[in-house]
Amino acid sequence: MKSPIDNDNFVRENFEKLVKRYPHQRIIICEGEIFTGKDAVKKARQKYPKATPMFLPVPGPEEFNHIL
Amino acid sequence: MKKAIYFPYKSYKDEYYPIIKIQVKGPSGFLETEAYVDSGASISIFLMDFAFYLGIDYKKGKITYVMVGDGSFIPVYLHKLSLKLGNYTFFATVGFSAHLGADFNLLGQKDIFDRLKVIFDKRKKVVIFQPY
Repeated sequence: MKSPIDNDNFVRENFEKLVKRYPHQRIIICEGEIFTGKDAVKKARQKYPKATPMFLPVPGPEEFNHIL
Repeated sequence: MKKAIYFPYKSYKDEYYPIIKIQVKGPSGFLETEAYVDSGASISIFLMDFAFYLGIDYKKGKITYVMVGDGSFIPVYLHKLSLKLGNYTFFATVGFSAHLGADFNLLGQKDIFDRLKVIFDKRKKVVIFQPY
């Protein structure tokens, strides 16, 4: 049986790639898959009914330099 | 005593930040997200888009105005929601705002810091939440 992919681990391992690919966007992550668009959560819940989707507001590459 | 919950700091560009994962319950169930633990924030403020994906009409909450870093006030709509930190679930006040001005949620003091002892262990790069 396929083990579930932890959203947090996925984000930690792919954070810099996500910042480059989806800067300033909101994405939904579930089981290592990325969903976008207004019905992203619905699609994620339909595909992986037992998993908890993750909402990720992706920062821009400059954001942490200026705000924090 | 309930067990402490440990969250490693999140690294980005060789720096480390107290950004943790948290789950919030909406009408369709829990939705996970990340939040920057901010001991200087009196309340938690999450992005308006998170409310949308959670299935909440955020403007139905009680409105308040919160002062931000530049001295201006932003409107924040308050809701009482079920949160999950690790295996610890509790109700807390969560504000939503369209004017947060950052691409991250803030986890502030109200209903959090009076329920959990929060330790920022910068040397070990971990945030610890110890239920009282």
